[in-house]
Amino acid sequence: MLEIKDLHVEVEGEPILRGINLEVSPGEVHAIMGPNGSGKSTLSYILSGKEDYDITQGTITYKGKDLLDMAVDERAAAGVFLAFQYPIEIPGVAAMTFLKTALNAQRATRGEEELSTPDFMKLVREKTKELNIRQEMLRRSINVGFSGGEKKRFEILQMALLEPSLCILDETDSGLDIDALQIVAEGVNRLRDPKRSMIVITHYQRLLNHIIPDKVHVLSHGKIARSGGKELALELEQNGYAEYENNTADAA
Amino acid sequence: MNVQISSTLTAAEKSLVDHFDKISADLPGSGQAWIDDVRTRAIQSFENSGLPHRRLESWKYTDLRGILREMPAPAQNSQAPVLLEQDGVDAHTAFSSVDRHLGVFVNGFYRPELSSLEDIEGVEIIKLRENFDDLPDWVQEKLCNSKVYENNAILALNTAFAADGAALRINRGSKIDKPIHLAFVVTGKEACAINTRNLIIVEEGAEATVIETYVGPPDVAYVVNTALELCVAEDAVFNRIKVQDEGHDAVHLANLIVSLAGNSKCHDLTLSVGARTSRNEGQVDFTGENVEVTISGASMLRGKQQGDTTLCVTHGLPSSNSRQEFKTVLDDHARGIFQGCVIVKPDAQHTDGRQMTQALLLSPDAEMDAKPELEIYADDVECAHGATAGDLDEDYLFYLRARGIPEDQAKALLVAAFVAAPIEEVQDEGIREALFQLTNSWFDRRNSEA
Repeated sequence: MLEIKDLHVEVEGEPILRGINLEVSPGEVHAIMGPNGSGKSTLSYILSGKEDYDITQGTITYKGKDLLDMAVDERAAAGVFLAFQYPIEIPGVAAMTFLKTALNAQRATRGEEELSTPDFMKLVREKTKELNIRQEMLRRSINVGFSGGEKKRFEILQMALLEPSLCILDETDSGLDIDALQIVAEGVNRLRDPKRSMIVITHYQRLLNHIIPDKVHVLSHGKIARSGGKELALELEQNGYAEYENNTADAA
Repeated sequence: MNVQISSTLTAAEKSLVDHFDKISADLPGSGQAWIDDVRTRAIQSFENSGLPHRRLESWKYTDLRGILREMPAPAQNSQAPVLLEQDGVDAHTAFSSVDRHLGVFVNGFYRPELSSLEDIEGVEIIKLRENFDDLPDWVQEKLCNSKVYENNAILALNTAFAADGAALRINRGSKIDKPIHLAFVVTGKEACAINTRNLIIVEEGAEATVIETYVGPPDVAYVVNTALELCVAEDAVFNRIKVQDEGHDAVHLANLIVSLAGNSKCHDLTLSVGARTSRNEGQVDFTGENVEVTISGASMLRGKQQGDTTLCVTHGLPSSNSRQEFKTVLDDHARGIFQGCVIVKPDAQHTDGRQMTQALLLSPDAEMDAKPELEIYADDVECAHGATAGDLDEDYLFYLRARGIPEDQAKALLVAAFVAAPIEEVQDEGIREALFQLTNSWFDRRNSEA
C-alpha cells in the first residue's frame, strides 16, 4: 500500500524529517507516536501533499505509484485521506455542498458517474446516523460554529463518505472527551477493512485503547527510533518519551 | 465668459449638450412648461460642471471625463423583437424562475408586450413615457426636485435626458404578493446612451420587494445612466435587489437617492458583475427615528473592469441603525473602489452605524481602493468600520483539495463563499438562489470568457 524510503524533509532549511522508512501493508493499522516536535504532523502533511515543505531526499510509493509526483487533489482521488488535527473553519461553504462536491469530484477523477442527489442524501443520512451527527449541522458552513468534538466527527464523516484506501489520522483524539472519543473511535473501527490501511498519529496512548494498532512506531527528532507491536504503546504510557528525547539530544 | 466655459468642454461633453439640443423637443412630455424647465435647468447645471473627473474628491478613482471620450447618441424607441433569455447565466435568465411581476425596458423604453405589470394589488404603476403629458402630482413633484442633482452631474444628465422609467407607489398597508422585477435590457449593435428614471414610494406600513436587473450585449460601448429615488414611509418595509450585468464594453452609471421615515426598514443589495466601468452612487437620509437600513453589495470583476461604489449615509436624527457591507472580488487587471461615508449629526444620538468593506484579490495586477469616511458629531453613538484586502487563503484551498476537489473548482467555491454573506441576508429564497446562481458561476464564466 505505502512505502516510505529514506525520507528527508526540510522547512526553510531546517531539517524536520531525517530519514524515515516505513512500510504499511493493506489492512494494517500503524500508530505513530512521539514527543511534540518530533515531525509527526509534518509526515501527515507530506503524505497528503501540502506545499511549503522541501523534500530533499527519499521516495514515497503509494499503490505502486510515486506519491510525490501527484497533486493534492489527485492523491485524495487516489484514496489518500488526512483527518486534520485542527480542522479549519471555512465560512460561506456549506458543509453539505462541500461533501457532495468532494465526493463527485473524486468520482469524476476516477471516471465514475456523479452520484444523484437522492442517492447522495441517502448515503449521508446513513453515515451521519452512525456518527451521531445532526443533519442540521451540515447546513452550516464547514466547521463554523462546530464544537471540538463535532469538528472531529465531521472529519470521520468525510472519511466514511469518501471511503479512502489510506487514512491518516492526525491527533484525532486531541480535544475530545471520553464520549466523543468513543464515537470517533467506533467510526474509525467501522472503516477497518482488509483493503484499507490506516496511520494513526497520536501523542497519547489512550486512543490506541479504542483503535488497536498492528504496529507502533516511535518518531523522535525526525526518525523512527523504535518500532514494535501494540505493547510498545503501553510501555510509552508508563515511561513517557524522556528516553527518546534524551537519546537524540545526546546524539545531536 | 460663456465662450470660455464651453471651450473647456471635452468632445463627449459637447456632444451631450448637442444631443440635448437636438432631441429635447422630442422628449416625452416636451412642450409642458414644468418639464421643459426641469430639463433645461438640468442640462445647464451639467454644462457648468461637465463630466466628473479625478480632481473631484468623490471621483478621485473613477475619472469619468477621461473614461468617456465619446458619448453615443440617445437610444431610439425601437420595437425590435428581443430575445430575453440567454443560453448562459445572466442576470435576466437567473431570475426567470422567480415568481414575480415583470416590467421590461428595452434600450430604456417600456415594452408592455414583454411585461406583466398590470393590476398588481396595492401598487400604482406609472410608466413615465406613456404618461408624461398627465403625470400625477406625486410623480411630478419628485421629478421637479432639482436639489437631488445639485453637485451630481450624472443625475443632472439623467434628469435632462430621461425618456422613460417606472414610478411605483405601494399603497398604505399593502403587502405586495410577489417581487416586482424591473428588467433593463439593451439590445442592438449600435452604441447608444440610455437614460431611465425610476421612483418608488412605499407608503405607511406597506411592504414590497423590487428587483432591478441590467443586461446588454458584450461588445457594444453603450452608456447606461439610471436613477432611482426611493421614499419609504413610517413603519414600511422595503427590499431592493439590483444586479448589474451589463456587457463588458458598457458604462453603467447609477444613482440611488433614499429617504427613510421613522420605524421603517430598508434592505438594499447590489450585485455588480458587468460593465467596463460602473459607478453605483447612493445617498441615504432619515426623516424619522428608529430606522433600520442595510446597504450591501458584492462586486465580481475581471479583465479591465472597474467598479465604483460610493455611498453616503447621513444620520440627522436619533436612534437609527445603518449598515454598509460590501464584498469585492477582483481578478486580472480589475479595479474595485469603495467610498463609504457615514455622517452622524449632533442630534443623531444613539446612532448605530456600521461599515465593512472586504476585497479578495485573485491577481497581483488587481487593485482595490477603499476609502471609509466617518464624520461623527454626536457623542453617544456606536460606529464601527473596517476594510480588508487579501488573496485566497491557502489553508482553505488545501483543505478542499485534500478532499479531492480540483484546484479550479476549489477556488470557485471559495470565491462564491467570499461574497455569500450579504446574499445570505436576502429574505426571499428564490431571489437568493438566483443571486447564488450568478455568483457560483462567476469563476467558471471567467474561464469560458477568458
